Amino acid sequence: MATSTVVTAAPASAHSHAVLAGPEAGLVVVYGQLAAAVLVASTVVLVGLVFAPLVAGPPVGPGRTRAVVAAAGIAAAAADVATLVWPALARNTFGGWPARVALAHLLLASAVVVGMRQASLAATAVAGALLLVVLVLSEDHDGSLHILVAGAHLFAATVWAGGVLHLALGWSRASGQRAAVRQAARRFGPTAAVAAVLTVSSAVAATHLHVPRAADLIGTGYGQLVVLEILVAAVVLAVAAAVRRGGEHHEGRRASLVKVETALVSLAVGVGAALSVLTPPAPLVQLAEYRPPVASAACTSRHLGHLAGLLAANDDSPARYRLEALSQRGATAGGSTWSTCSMAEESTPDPGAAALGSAYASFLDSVGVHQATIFSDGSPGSQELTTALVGRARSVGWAVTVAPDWEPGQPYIGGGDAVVIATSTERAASVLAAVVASPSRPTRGVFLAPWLLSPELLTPGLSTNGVQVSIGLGFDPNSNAAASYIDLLARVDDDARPTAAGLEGYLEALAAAERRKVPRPTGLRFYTASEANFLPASVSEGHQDNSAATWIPQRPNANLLPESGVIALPGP
Amino acid sequence: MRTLRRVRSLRPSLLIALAVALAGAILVGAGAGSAQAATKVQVSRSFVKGSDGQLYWVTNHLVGGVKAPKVKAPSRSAAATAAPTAAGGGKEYLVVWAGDQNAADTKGSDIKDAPLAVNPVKTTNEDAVTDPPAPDFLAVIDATPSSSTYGKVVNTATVGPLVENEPHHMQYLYHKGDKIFAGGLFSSATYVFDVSKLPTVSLSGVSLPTDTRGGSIPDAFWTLPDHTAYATYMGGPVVPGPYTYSDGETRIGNGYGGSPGELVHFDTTGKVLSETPAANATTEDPATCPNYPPIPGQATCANPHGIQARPDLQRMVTSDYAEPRNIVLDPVKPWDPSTFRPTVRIWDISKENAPKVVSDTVLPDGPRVEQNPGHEEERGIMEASVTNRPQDKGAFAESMCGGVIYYSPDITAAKPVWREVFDDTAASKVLNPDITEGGGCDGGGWVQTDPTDHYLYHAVIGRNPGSLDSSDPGVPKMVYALDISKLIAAGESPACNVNTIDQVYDGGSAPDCPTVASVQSLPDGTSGGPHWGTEDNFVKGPDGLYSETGNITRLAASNYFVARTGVDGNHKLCMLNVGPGGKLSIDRNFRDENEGTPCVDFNRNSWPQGKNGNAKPHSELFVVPDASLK
Repeated sequence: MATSTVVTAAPASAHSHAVLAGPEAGLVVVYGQLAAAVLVASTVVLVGLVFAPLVAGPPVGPGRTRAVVAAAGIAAAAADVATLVWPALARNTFGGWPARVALAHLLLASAVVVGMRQASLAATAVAGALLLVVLVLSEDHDGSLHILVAGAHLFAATVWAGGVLHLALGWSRASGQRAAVRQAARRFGPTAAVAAVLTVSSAVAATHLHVPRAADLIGTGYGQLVVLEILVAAVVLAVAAAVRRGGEHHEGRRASLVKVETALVSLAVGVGAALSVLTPPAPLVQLAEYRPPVASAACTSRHLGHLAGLLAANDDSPARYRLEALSQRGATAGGSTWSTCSMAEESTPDPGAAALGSAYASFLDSVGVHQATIFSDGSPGSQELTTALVGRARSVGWAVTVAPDWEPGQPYIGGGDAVVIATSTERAASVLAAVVASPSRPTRGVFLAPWLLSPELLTPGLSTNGVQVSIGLGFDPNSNAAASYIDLLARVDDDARPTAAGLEGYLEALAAAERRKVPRPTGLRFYTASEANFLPASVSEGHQDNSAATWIPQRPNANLLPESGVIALPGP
Repeated sequence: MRTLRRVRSLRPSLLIALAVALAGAILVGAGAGSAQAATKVQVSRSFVKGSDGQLYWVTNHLVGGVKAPKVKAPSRSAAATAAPTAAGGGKEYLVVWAGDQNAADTKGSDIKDAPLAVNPVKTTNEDAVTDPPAPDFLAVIDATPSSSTYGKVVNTATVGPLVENEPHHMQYLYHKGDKIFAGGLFSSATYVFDVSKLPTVSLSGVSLPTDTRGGSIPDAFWTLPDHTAYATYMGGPVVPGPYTYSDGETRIGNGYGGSPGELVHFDTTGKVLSETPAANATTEDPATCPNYPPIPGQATCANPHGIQARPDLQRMVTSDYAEPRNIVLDPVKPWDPSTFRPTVRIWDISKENAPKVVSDTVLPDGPRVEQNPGHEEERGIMEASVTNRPQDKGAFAESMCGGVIYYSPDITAAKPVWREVFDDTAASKVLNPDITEGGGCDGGGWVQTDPTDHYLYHAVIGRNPGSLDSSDPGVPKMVYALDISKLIAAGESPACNVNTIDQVYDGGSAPDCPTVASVQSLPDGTSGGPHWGTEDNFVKGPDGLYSETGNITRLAASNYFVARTGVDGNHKLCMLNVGPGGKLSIDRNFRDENEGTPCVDFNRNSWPQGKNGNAKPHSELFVVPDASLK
C-alpha cells in the first residue's frame, strides 16, 4: 500500500512576542498586554479626535472633546512611562518596544494634546499621523504586506472612530448643538464612508493573513475576537445608516442610536486594540505531500528527513505540525515507530549510479586497491554502480569479484584489498557483519555506496578490532545543512537515525519551500567514521568531547573525517 | 499687539514642530548611532587550486581603512594569484588559528531538550549566529603595544570551502620569509598562508588528505631555513594496509587515526616533498606500544605530535602522543594507558626529503605511583622543544598525561639519554602550597625554550577541583617559566634526575635541576585552561623596523584545546610579559575591544566576517610583515 504523507506546518507568527518562562513571566505578559492595549486604544482615540476636525469641522462640544483628548493623552503617556520604567514589559509585550520608541511616542502624544488645546490643527495632525506610524512600525510584521494592511486599517479605523466620537461628544439636548452636529455629520459622511470601506476591507485582509483557517475563527480566542469585531463593525454600520436616515422628527431615537453607535465604536476600538497586542493563532498550512516512488516501500527515513526540512523551511518557529499518514506504519524491532528505508526507496541515487561507480574506482585505485569484492543486488542503482565500478577497475588491472548471490548468514571468505557494498541498508548490515567476523578481512577496509550512510553501518568501523569503514558522499557531512538536518531530526523523532535518504528528503523539502532544485553534487569526497580523540578523560572533564550533530548517535564522540579531496563525478 | 498675538498663535505650532523634530531625532539618532558603530570592512579573496582540481580560498576581512586591491579569480590553468598588498605600517601582529564554534558542537540528541546553541551567548543575544558552521579563520590581532589598536582584531582571514577543519597548530615561531603552515585536525588538510603582507593574508597552497595518504590528523609544524616545513601527522594512513612512502619504505598501518603516523615535508606552496614513516622498520615492543587493531609484526608507538628541529645539528625531535582513535574517555578506567605513548624520536635530517629516525626512546617512568596508570609520568609525550644556541645540543619533552618534563643533553648522541628533570607539581605548589594532587594528567601542552636557552616556558591546562573524583583538589591552570640555565650549562652530563618521590614536590635535588622562575595562573572560570603559547621573537629597533631577538619579553597563550568541547575553556588569548628573572605577568593593556578587560576574548557575537559567534583559538604566532622586518 502506498504510503503518502501530508505534512502541514505553521509559518512564523506575525506577532511573535517573546515568551518568558516562569510564573512572573505570565504576569509581565498580562500587564504588558493591558498596557499595550491601553496605548493603542488611547492613541486611536487621541489621533482620531485630532483628525476629526479636518473632516468634520470644529468640535461642537469642545469642552468634552478636550476632556477626552486629555484623558487619552494621559492614558497613552501612562503606558509609555510604564514601558520606560519597567523594561521587561516592553521587551516581552511590545514586540521589543525600545525606550527610544516609547520616548518618541510620549513626545508626539504630548504634542498632540498641546496642539489640540491650542487649536493648531495642521501641526497637530502631522504629529498625530506620526503617532500612528510609530505604532504601526513598532509591531512585529511578517513582511511589507502585513505592514501595509496594518497601517491602512489603523489609519482608516482611527479616522472613522475619531469622527464618530467627535460627533458624539458634540451631541446634546440643545437643538442648536444638535443642528451643528448634523451639519458636521453631513460633512463627515463621505469621509466616513471611505474610512468605513477601508476599515472593513483592511480588516478582511488582516483576517485572511492572520487567521487563514476558518476553523480558527471559532476555535481560538483570537479568532473569536475577530468575529466579535466583525459583528460590531457590521452593527455600527447599520446603526450609522439608521442615524443618517433619521429625520428631525426622530431626535429621541437618533439620540439613542448615537449613544449606541458611540458605545459600539468604543467597543470596536477596544477589541481592535486587544487584537493588535495578542498573538494570532499559528495557522496550519498544508505545505507538501510526499509520496515515495515505490508503492510497496515502507520507508520513513526520507519521510522524517522531509519533515525536518519543512521545519527548517519554516524557520523552526514555534510551529505546530501534523503528520497525517495515509497508510499504516510499521514498527521496528527496536520499538521505534519508524522503520528504516528500504533500498527500493533509494533506487535512483542522484547523481547517476554509473558516475558513482567510476568515482569509486578512481579513489580505490588511488589508495592501492587492486583486488576487490563487490556486493550488489538487483536494484537499478546497485547494478549501475557495480557495472561502472567493475568496468573501470578491470580497465586498470584490478581483480574484481562481484557477489550478487551472497546470502545473509554466509561467511565472507574473500579477503582481498577492499569490499564494496552497494546493496540495500539491511543487506549491507549483513555483509558488514560477515566481513567483521571473517578471518580474511579486506586490507583496505569496507567501502559503502553513498546511499548507505547510516549509523548501523558506520559503527562497526569504530570498534578497536573492527574494520575501517569508508563512504563516498556528494555532500559535506559536517556542513551546516547536515548539522541542521540531524538537529531537526532529533526534534521530529527522538529515536530517528540520520541517513543519507533522510538528508535527501530534508534537502528536497527545503528546496521545494524555496522553489528551487536541489543542486546535483559534482564530486564525491570519501569519509571514514572515527572516534579520534585527543585528551584523556581526566583532562577532558569539562572539555566535554561532545561530538558533532552526529551521524552516529550511539557513539557521540564519532565524526566523519575526510580521507580524500573531491573526486569529480563524470557528467551525465 | 497683533504681532504679539501672531507670535503667541505660532508658539503651539513651534512647540509641536519641536516635539516632532525631537521625536524624529530620537528615533533616527539611535539608529544612526548603531550604524556608526559598524566599522567598514574591506573584503578580498585569494585562491589556490587543490590537487583535486577544486578551488580553495582565504577571504580577508580587513577592518578600517586598510586598502587591499581586488584579486581576480584564477583561470582554470592558473594556480595561486598574486597576494594583495597592504602596508604593515610598522606593526607587529599576533596571528591566531581559530575555529568556528557552532551548533555542530552539540549532540543532536541534546538539542531537543535544550536551546539549540551551545554558545551561552546565543541564548541571551539573538544577534549572534552561532548555529551554522561558519568558516574557520586566521585572526590577525594588533600586537604593537604603542598602537592605538593594540589588542584589536584588524583582520579575519576565513578559509573555504572546507568547514569544521578544527584548526590545530601552526609552527612554533615565525621567521622572515616563512609561510605559515596551519593544520586542520579533522579535515586532515594543511593550509599554507603567506603573511608577508600582514594584516592581509593570502593562500599559497593547501594539502588535502589525498596528498598525504601515509598519515592522518596533522598536528604541528617546523619551518626550516629554506622555508620548507616538516609536519607531524599523528594518525595512521588514511586507509589501512601497506603504504609505501617517499623513501621507498613500506609500513603497514591500521588505518585512519591509528598508527603509524608520519612526517611530511612540505614546500612553500603546500606541495608534498616527502612522506616518511615515523615508525621503525622493525617492530617496537607490543606491550609498550599496542595498536588497535594490532599491526602484525610492526607494533609501534609512532604517533608524532610535537616537532622541533636543529638544522645546524641535522637533528629533529618528535614526541609521540597517542593513537588518536583509541583514546577512550573514561576517567576512572583507562582502557589501555599504553595508547598514550611514552616515546620520543630523534631524526637525522641531513637529507631533508629523506629524514631518518636514528633513535626512539621510551622515556622512563618517574617516582610517582599513580592510582590511574594513565597518569604515570611517561604517558602522552605531547610536545618537545630543542635548545637553540650552537653549543647546546639538548632537547626537552613534556608529558600531557604524566605532567613532567624530560631532558636529553645531546640529541646527536647515538643513544640519547632522557631523564625526568621537573614535575609540574613543583610549579603548582607555587600557586597553591597546600596542593595535594600532583601533576598526573594535568594537561601539559606547549613547551618552549627561549632563544638564549635560559628559560623554558610551559602551558598547563590544569583541571578544576573534583574533576577526577570528589576528593580531587585539581591542578592550577598556568603558564610557568623554569630557569634551565644550570641544566644547560651542565653540558652532556647533567646530574639532574627526578627519580625520588620527594623531588616531585620539592623539585629536583641536583644543583643543576631546573628551578621555578615564575608561575602565572591564567584566570579561567570554566573547566578549560591554557594549552598553547608562543614567544615574541621580535623587537622593534630605533629605526622603527623589527628584527628577531633572543631576548624574550613577551609570550602569548591561548585557552582552548580541541573541537566539540562544549562550553569549556574561556577561548581567551592573553599576553604575558616576561620580566627580569623570567617573571611572568599578564599584560593588562592587551585588552578585548568589546569587553575592555585584559586578554582578547574569542567568545563574541561579531567578527569582521560577520555575526558568526564564538570561535576557538588554538594556536598563535607573533608575525611582523616583511615591509617592517629586517
